[in-house]
Amino acid sequence: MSTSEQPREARSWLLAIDSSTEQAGIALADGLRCAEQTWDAGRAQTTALLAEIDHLLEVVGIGLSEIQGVAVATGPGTFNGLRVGMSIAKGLVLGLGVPVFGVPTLAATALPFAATGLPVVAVVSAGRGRMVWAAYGVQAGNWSQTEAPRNGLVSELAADLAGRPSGVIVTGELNPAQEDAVAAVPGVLLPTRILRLRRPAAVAELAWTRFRAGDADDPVVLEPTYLHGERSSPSSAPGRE
Amino acid sequence: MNILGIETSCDETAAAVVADGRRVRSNVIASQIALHRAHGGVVPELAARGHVTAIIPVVEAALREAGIERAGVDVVAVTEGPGLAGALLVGVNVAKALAYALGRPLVAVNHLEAHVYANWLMLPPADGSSPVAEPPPAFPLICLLVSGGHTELILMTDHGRYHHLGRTLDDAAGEAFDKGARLLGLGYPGGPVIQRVAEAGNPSQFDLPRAWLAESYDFSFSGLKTALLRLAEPYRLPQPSEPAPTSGPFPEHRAAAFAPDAPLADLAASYQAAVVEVLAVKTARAVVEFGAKTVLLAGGVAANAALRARLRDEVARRCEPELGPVPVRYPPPALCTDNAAMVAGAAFYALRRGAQAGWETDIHPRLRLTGT
Ligand SMILES: [Zn+2]
Repeated sequence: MSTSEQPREARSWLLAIDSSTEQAGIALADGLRCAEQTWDAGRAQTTALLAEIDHLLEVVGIGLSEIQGVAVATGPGTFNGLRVGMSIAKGLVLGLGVPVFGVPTLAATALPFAATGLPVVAVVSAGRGRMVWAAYGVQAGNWSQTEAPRNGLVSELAADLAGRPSGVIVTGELNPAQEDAVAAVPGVLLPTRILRLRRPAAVAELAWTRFRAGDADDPVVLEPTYLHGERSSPSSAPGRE
Repeated sequence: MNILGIETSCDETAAAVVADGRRVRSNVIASQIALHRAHGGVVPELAARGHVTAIIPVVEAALREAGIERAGVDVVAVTEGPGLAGALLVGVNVAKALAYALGRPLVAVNHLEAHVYANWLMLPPADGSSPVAEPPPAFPLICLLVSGGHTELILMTDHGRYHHLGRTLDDAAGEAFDKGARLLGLGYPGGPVIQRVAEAGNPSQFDLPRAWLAESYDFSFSGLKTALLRLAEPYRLPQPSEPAPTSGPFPEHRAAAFAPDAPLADLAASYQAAVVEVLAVKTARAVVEFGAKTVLLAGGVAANAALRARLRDEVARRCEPELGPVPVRYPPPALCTDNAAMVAGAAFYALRRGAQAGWETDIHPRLRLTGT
């Protein structure tokens, strides 16, 4: 090593994994620096995810031993997609002996827009044209989920949005037809498609405080949120009058 | 060499440590049978969910019982297929990440091959002494692999060299037992319950059809099931009119009910005899045709006592006059049904052939046993 180069301080890195949908993401964060990658993995999450994690470690130039925690998006999303990320996370924490942190996918989806102070409706695709969404906003001075998630078709999402006050940001993955349906609702603020993609850095960010505090999840019982497998017709969804 | 095997292809979450391909150091299985019994069969989504929460305790128990730490694992092996996609991907991704984290090689194993290799395994004797080293099965051999998902007749000429002779054209043998048990209202899983009920019955009481499929080593059991339905129908009681209960989002199965004088034991015995006869006769024919030195049974249905007895009889009668004694071998019951020791065992021999898997390894739900 040349003397002009600062020896890199050994840090604790957090690895974040999000395979909630076909749009997969991984991130490495150490509190100062963050490397992230998000890509359309299609159904190939099993073949791609660990190979890409290996690659990102190489890009950042750190070894496995510097990973001190694993954060994983817990859903909602597609069942098999969620299970791939969860299984990779469980294998890693089992092998490395480090803690695991489950992060709700919709919370990570909404986070980039928290600083606007505006209400945010975060959307995630649940496969077969269905979607799950939940509202986030400032409540008692804190950014948090303000309503329980609902699931349905885009027509139901549009009807939900139409009943809200003007100035709500809708973010998350929408296909072009869903995008048109949402954009047609008066008062909805729809950021551009690429800026709506879930960011794995948001998964790392949401796990960071717990990571520093050592407030981990039990890796044995941690499992995906299988939201849309349960009865959740609009009439039975809690939190909406 | 300690190989940690992981198996999640269907409804058992399993992990095991096997030394040098044969010595079973631990064999842990978390069965989901209770979870699926209410539905009368395996619900794929429930199976996948079960693996997610069972996998860590099962792997940890396998290491603990083998008396090794994580660092004592030399190789990680996992079933890549065939099986249920959502179930397979839990095991494959956990195994990949675990091997990666430990810095150890990964071996992806064909579940069917693993069943065959259960015949190489030696369980530790209950008294804690070291196992007596049985000689390994001699090649060429004929293996009848029968389970809830598979009915395959295989000629194996050496390690990793398989010639597929026949398979089921419709239901697997274990599936035939499951469906037969369901028709007779006996419960799930079908193989053990049919065997138990059949013990009190006369196997020649009812004449059930055998699908011989001449000139072929293939099997067919769907006609048999239809014939059983016809025989059992007169004894069936009408179903209650209220809908079946549900547990969560998945409907429950309601068992058929029968008149008290229904000859269920004779029906079960006749049905079992029909399944077993075709399996045993075709296997013995293959032994003669290929001059096999060993006959192996594998898979969950290998635990069926009637099958074992009939196969021994047929081999003695048809093969020994020409070939001399041909041993019929089968694994102990704990290694017949899905387990991870067989995965670790098969991985040892696969690794000797250079079969190391990369981090891009995928699941193969419809994988077959082919290749030489
Ligand atoms: Zn099997």
